[in-house]
Amino acid sequence: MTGYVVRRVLRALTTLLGATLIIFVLVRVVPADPAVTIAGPKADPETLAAIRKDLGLDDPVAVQYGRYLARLAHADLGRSYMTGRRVAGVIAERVPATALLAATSLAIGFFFGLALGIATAARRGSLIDVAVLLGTLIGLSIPGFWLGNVLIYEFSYRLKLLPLGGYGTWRHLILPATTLAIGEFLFYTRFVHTNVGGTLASDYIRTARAKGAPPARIYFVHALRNALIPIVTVLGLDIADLMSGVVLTETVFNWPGLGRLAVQAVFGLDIPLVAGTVLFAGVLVLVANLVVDLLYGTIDPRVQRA
Amino acid sequence: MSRLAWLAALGVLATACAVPLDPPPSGAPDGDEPPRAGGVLREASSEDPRYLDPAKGYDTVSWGLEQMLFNTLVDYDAGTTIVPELAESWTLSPDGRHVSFALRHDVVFSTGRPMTAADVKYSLERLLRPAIHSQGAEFFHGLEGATDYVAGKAKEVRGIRTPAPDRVEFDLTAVDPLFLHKLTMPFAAVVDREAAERYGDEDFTRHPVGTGAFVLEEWVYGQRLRLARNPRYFRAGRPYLDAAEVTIGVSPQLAWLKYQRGEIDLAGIPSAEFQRVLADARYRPLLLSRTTLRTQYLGLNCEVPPFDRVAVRQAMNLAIDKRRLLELIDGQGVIATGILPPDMPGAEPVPGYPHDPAAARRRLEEAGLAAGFATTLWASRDEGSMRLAQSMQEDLRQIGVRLALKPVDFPALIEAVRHPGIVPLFLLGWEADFPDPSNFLTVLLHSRSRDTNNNTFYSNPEVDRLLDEADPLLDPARRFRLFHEAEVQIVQDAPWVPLFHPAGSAVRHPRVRGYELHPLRPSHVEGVWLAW
Amino acid sequence: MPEAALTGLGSRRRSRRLFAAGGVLVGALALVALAAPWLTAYDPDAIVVASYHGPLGPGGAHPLGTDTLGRDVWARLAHGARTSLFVGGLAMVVSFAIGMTVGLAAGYFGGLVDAGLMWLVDLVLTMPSLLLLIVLATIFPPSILTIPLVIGAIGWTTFARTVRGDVLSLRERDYVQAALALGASDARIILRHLLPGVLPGAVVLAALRMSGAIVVDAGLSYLGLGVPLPTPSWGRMVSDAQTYIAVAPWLVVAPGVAIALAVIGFNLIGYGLIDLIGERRT
Repeated sequence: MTGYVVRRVLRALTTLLGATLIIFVLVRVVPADPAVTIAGPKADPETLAAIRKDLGLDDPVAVQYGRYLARLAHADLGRSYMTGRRVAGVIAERVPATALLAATSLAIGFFFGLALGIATAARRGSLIDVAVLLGTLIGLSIPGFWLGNVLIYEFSYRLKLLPLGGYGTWRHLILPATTLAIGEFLFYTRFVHTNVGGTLASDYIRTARAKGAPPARIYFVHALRNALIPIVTVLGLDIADLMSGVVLTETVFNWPGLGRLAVQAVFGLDIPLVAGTVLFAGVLVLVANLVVDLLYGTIDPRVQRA
Repeated sequence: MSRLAWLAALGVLATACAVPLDPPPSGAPDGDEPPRAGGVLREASSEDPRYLDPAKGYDTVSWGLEQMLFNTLVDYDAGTTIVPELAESWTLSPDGRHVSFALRHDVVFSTGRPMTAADVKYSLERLLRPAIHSQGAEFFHGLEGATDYVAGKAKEVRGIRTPAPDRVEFDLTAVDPLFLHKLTMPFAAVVDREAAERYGDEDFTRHPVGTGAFVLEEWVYGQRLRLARNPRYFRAGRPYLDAAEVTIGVSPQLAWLKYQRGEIDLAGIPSAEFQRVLADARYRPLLLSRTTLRTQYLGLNCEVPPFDRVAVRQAMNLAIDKRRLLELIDGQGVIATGILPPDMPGAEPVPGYPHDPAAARRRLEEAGLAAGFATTLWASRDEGSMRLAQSMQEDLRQIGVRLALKPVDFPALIEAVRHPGIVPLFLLGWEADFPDPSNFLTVLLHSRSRDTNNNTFYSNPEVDRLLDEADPLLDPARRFRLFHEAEVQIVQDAPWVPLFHPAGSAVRHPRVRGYELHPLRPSHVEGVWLAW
Repeated sequence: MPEAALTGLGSRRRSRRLFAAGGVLVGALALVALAAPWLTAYDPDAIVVASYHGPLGPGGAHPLGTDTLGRDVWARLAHGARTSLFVGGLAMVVSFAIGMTVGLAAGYFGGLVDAGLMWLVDLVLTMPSLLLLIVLATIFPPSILTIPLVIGAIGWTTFARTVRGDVLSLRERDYVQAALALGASDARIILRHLLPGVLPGAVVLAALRMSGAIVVDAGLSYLGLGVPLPTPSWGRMVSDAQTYIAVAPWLVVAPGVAIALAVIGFNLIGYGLIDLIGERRT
């Protein structure tokens, strides 16, 4: 188990390094004149000179990268060129909102998806199977940002039950969380349905049945435990996609989180803020994945033995 | 399966019907009762104000709040007449180059410290300091010794004298008929020296201390801003309000809904609702509108090809369909043919350019660009600007100009246009700071303003000469005649495509009284009171 | 959502129906896209109302009304189909090419190459795609070519993983082992023996990636980072009309339905194909 943990953490770190490299290359190496890209709207000669000096843009790329990493280690993501505030500070202000939205949506979607997926887990080819497949296919084809707008229209404008975007009370959370949760719910329903259904069809389950074990026990103990492993795997992958959904949902509902921050930073021509936010989002996903993988390690006995 | 499809279709159709216009919040909009003290004025804004530091803010939102926190020596009444504020009275020397103010004795900062002449001097010197990068400093370069101070050659501005704690005297290098007007701008607000020095240039905006009717009680970045009544304010009985609260991060649509539900007291009318609101009798008593001294325009960067050629700039002027632009802003305003808004003192009609795409194409041919060209229009990301931009994009396509649009946030836009060579074409507006043509022509189009507000980097020595000659003239007739000549020449050189002069409008909650839209300044909140 | 285990309906007959339904939708979409200029009465970019007084409702000369600028909605919708299909198609091709290459290389060469490439896959999967696209959109000025390239550069990971998995199992097959033993060159083995084997799975993924790319493009356009104006784009039509939703909701409904139908169409084709071509592993 410790070997697994060490390997996973090492992997996470190297991936993190890769992420920093990607961002670094995109922001500093790709543009013709990175100083101009970073300065954004304030590209007067003084600011440009200051940036060049500050980032050491005349040094070899490797040295620049090293310096960049050193800064990151100190949580120094630079300064937002529009407000002059530290990027890390701005991000810290926005993290709770995003975390709240992401966690709530995932929890609701996962829980109900798991439940419905198990409940409908049936042999392939049955009517329920078709219904689940088609229903989730159609539901997942509906763009989230559009659904968000439709929900606002119905519940905020027409029925006047819920606030029109913004942040503050639990009522503000309902619509954005629902928008995201629906997608999650559909996805997990289908995934669990297919995987649990698959496991149910497997040999050893049939054996358990033949031995006369009660159906409930079969479902919850045997099927679920085995299905949990791929479910936990896909949970890790899903978190990255969830972040993408969060960006759109935050924009629709004016939710003051990281996603909306990144979009605002783009239109504020504020590259340090964009780069910092995206990198941080990547870190969040990495950490979440790591946690999930470690959890997976506790579930999967094969791993524990390794 | 098919039944599901039908249900879905019905659901979609049901969604596709417009929601009827809700009534405004209920209550009698007007009455005879005298002003009542107390209550909290609730407003909403989509973004934080850029600054609360009067030396730095130069936009409507910042100015509105700065006016609540600070005072100037003199101010405008409900119109354009100058009245005393921190100064009780003043005298002008016969040669027009010296102004002497007698200050009120009862003014204290919100901290309790009495305001003296030394604070006035400090505030203006702070404004002039290069480190603060103020866009308002240029207005006060006419003070004696200002240029030396700015260059670092002097430790103080000798043209600002404080012979007594309650007297401030100004010496000008040349006659400036606009000096008093300039003193009404928030740039000239009196700040508390102790606080300014304690917090420094960067942080004073978060801890502003002034003499105003309100003090900053709370500013949670991105969420809310609260200004509370200043009990030490020198005008007894004012402000009537206990506090004013601004919720930040509220989109215009959300603000409108909140207004309808009575959750906020003031709001702008979203474009989508405009027609219905104007036609609805229930809203009429609550509408606030005014003509403004504002021009919305396309700025053509005269240093970036192909806009470095007059023929091309004139072609741009001929190509734009301004009538349609006016429709897109719901008819709220008038088409602009010249630089100055029609209500500006001294403004006379300028013939301008008709909408004539054929003539535009001919001009391009003359300039050797018969095949057209490609360029980028920088505009603010808000919905209104984007629609105007797309309309113009379509107009220009008709003459072979391929316009790419670059939407940016407003603060990024006003920063970017200040730097040469970055923005070839931009959509902006300018609102008069004081009622004189120089506030448009000199500030925006004199060649020496290229570092501050001349974002088209336009330069015509003849125009400069006319503007310099007109500036010190006290006689309005001569002054305005010269300005008009300059304006005619500018329109011929076409560094701008003047689009329209918008009217401003807003709605108020029925309980709001005493709130008026001012032609030159954000509304004065100290006279606002709430009927319940 | 991550593209999880692909299981079909388990019945060839039902899968055929699925495929047919998808084919109808996509066919209609392609038809509209190709024939857009003949199916619509107006230029999508032109402002066609004589004077603007707000969006017009469906009916009369404008079957779907006019938008917030006075342009014909049906024209924009139909021409938007071209944009969606082009961007989706090009993005899918890019993802396909990259994913196939990576998957074949990783599966065939194994060892360090495999480890390295899979690490790369992990890396791309970790960065939230939309955010990465946002950064890319800031660096590269958006155009009708750069947007699909950028979307394609992010979306190849499922191709790579699936193809790699297929290669790993195909590698053990007799005919491949025989070819190896005979000393056939790498290129020959990959192109003649492995490629045909991975193709069925890849084609399924291609259809699904198409739908995915359309959604991603719609999302990017919605944020204002997609194909530049005035090229009509469904996602942008939604964001343009958002503030008018109480007054003119059809402006938001129409493009949303269009996006959904296009995505459903390609998804149906993809899922229909699963059981129709070759064997699939779950």
